[in-house]
Amino acid sequence: MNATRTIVRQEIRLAFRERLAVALLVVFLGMTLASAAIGWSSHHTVMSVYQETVLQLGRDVPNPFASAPALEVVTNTIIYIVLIGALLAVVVGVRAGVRDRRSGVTDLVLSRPIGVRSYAAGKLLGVQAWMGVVLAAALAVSWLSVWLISRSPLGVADTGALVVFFALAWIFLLPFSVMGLIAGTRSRHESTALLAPLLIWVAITFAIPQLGTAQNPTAMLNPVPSAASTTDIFFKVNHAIFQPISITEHFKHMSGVIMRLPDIASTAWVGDVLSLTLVAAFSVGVLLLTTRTSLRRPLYE
Amino acid sequence: MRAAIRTNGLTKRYNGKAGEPALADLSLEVPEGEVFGLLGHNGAGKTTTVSILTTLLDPTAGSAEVQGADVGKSSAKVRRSIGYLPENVEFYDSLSLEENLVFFARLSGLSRPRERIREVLSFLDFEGHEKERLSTFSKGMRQRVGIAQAILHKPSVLFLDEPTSGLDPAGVKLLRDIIVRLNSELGMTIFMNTHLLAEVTKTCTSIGVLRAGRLIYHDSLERTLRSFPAQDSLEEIYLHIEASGA
Repeated sequence: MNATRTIVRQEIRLAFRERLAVALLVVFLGMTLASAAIGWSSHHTVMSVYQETVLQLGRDVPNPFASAPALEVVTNTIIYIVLIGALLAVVVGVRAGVRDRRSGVTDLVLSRPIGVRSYAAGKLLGVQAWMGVVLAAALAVSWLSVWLISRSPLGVADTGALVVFFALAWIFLLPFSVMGLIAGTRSRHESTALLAPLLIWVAITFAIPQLGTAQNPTAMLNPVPSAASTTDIFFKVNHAIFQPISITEHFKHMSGVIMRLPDIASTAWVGDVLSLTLVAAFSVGVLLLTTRTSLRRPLYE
Repeated sequence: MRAAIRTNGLTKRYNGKAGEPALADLSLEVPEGEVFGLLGHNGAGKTTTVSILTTLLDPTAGSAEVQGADVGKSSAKVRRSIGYLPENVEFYDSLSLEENLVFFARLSGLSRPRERIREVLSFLDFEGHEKERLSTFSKGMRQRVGIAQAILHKPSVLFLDEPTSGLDPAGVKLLRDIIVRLNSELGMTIFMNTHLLAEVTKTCTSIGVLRAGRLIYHDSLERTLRSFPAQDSLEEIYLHIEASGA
């Protein structure tokens, strides 16, 4: 346990010293701010349209946008976590996996009284701790953005929802960190260490959701998917196969439920939790199968 | 004297490689307090031997013990009793000397690493560099950091894989002096892979010669020098053993 804690600390320290990790953190926070700006812009636009309509009608009508949830302005953060956050997790995971092999310290570490599983677990917890820092910073930025836009601080319930959303994002990013770590610790070449998980990321983010929720092809880039609409047998079969592992779709749906976004069915979240948990557990299981031999494999440029 | 290292029929065949094994039927005993030099050409099996003894590699057959603990069955116990300096040792360049050493000290289970780091750096006459990043260190300085991390937890057996490789003459002399002091002052048993015979003459108490994975010679340095009166130097003795096979 002590050895694992040592690896975790080391990973966090090294991530803070790495330019790429810090640059990705800045980009992610920038995107979180952009999400708030886009949210504010669309809110401002619809409110202007409403006021203009009221002016032209010459009489007061109820504002249909007044009851919009406070967190709606940061809805785009959901898609940024799916796209930029997952990419960040993959890159940070690969760097953590490759670092010791490239710098040649793997043998030194493995000659100390530490098991391979403790080492792998320490690496993963370190990467996830770094992702926790990123998400905590994004949470703070989102909270402050909503405060600035709505000119009043978020209530306890909305703040709680935001915290739960970022906690869910942390779990969602876990399989991507693991994927990066596995590639980083097992690839023979540094280039394939990054390329392989990126291809899988593309498949998980773009291809599988298309096959799994192909009834709704535009769901991919929407923050939250809408209900299925086709009855075609091909899509039905694909849906049955891929829907359980479409973790991006599950994450988007659950995020919508947590943020209380309109038109989101709040009934299917148990399946979402189950899917995210199973995929995360499976990926951690695969990581813990790492062997001493694979860690000591030479790494070529 | 009790054996610090004992191997019995140790064999290593790498996966998918047919033909001769990298290490064949190595049976060897290194008593406590020795400085043992394992000699051999490149590819003779020296690094494979050290990798097995440091628990980094599993043997295909045979057994090995370090301080009475089996390298396969009690690997954690073995790791607690050994220090290891690999060839061309590298560290985390973005961290300082102290940060690197604290990491390895904690991995070795030391609860007060900074105190021990001060002691070790003082022993190695290497104080004053604690806050410097390792990216600024020369090869010789890195070797000393390598020795420092290897002895932080006071191991009883130290494995050095080509410790003087790539060092300038001043660096070689400095490292040689450190090895001698580690043995004489701290009582460490030292197992050293090398093909620099001048170093062996000045540091080792016994030697072994590996050829194509097989141990073809093993004796004390003193007896070795006496047994080959026709040869003027250890270099000539080594070449003679290599050529004759015994």
